Amino acid sequence: MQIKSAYKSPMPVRRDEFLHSFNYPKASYGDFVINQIGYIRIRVWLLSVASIAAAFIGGRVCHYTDAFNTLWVISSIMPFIALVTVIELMRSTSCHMAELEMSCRYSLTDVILARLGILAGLNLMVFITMLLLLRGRIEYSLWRTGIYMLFPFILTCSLSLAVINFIKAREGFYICSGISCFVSMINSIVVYSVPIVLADRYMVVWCILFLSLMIFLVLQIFKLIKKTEELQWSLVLTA
Amino acid sequence: MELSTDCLTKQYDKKIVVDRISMTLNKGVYGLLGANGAGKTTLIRMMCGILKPTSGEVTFNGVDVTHEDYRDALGYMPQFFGYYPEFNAMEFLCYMGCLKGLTKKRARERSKELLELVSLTDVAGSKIKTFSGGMKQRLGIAQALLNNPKILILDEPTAGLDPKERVRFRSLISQLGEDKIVLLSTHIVSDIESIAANILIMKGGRLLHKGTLEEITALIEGKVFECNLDRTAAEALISKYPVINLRYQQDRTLLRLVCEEKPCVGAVNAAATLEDVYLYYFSEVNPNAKLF
Repeated sequence: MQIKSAYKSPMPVRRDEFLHSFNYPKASYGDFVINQIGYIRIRVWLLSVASIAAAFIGGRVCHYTDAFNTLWVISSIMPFIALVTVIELMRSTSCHMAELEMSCRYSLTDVILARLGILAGLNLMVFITMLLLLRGRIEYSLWRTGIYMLFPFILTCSLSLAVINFIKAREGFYICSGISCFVSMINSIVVYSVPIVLADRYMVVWCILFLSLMIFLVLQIFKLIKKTEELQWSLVLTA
Repeated sequence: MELSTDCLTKQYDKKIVVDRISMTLNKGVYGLLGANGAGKTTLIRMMCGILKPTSGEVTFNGVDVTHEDYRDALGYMPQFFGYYPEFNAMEFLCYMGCLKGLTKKRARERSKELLELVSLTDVAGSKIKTFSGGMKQRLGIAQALLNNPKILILDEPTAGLDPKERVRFRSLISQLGEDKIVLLSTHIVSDIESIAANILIMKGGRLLHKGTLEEITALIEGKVFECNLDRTAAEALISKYPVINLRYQQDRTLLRLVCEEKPCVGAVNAAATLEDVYLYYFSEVNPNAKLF
């Protein structure tokens, strides 16, 4: 204490350099994915909650006969859930963050995969919750109700991703919005006005179309991930 | 510490944008000079792993550019970059920190340090969309430094900065070059002249020259001339040689130009600068040039 009071301590020399020489602990891939959850925009969560609320009101609160109406209402909401999912996936490109993200340790491909995983998990939870809420209220079996609900979602996702993989992101968004509105509208019209399409005899057709769309969707996702490995090169740069 | 490119080439359809560039960079500041379309940005993008080369490779201490460890050692500031519109400066840096593999706590600490370094602490909570061009540029520099990179690549970093900020930025880059490989691409010759120990000159996708300022300027030593002429004589010379500078003094014209031999009687040899070298390689002679 006496020495401390007798002498004034010297100013630190090359303090910053010393501090920078430390190898600070790195975040794991798991930490990175968990961090990404916080960066999913609020509207995605809100739409998911709204969809579950619609299913709850339709499946548990409304009269039994209204349950069918709930099915077509929910399946008509699904294209919009697909739209916000696709928009969320393409956020890096639309906000011109892709180049910066590509140069980071967890690159754009990791970001897209993380977002894809988070959104797919969220959508799956929403879908299962809605399905359980409608269980026993509709004359169809659970898996058949599932196909009717998921079909517009998968159709919108596949077409939107195909558009985004083909056209530059910003212009693509307008087309994607158009696609989701179109799918939602057609779904409402067909299911409500021509309920015969939901008859037993057409179930095989639904299954074949559903599986084909699933394969198409997987292909589009692979294409999208491949695209994120390299910045889309433009001849304008060297013009 | 060694960053190498070996026969790095990028071809798009029939156009070769970067043509077999081989070089080795060690600690220090390197200035990359070249006119628009010289292939600087494409070269930089390949060195950052953002574009895949048609052929050739980029390695840092033997680690390939495609490897996560390479990106872990890299700090990059692109010429143009965007941001998520809902982000403020602090959120942007924390987000980039997470992508660079920093823990949440460390990303926050580092963001605070860097916001102070680039004088943006006061606006840390403000949305980036309210920032001026210079502020965005400083934020871009800050994000490139988040992971304390060993390789720092900056594409046109001083664009949009006012003279005071530019001077501050220069001294910052000089300091960083003491323990990092810094590659700086810019059109602003004076920036490179004052901070880059090594200069790389690119033209038509090829690396024309690599060397220190003295070595580069020696390329045109004895070829820079200054002459004081009347209008007719001046017009004859500007249509023949690349003009570096032109100044009117009453009825006379003071010309500074680069040519192989003395352009006229009375022409005086001048010491070559980096700007002279740049203009020698990148300016074109207009045979129909006239004085206003």
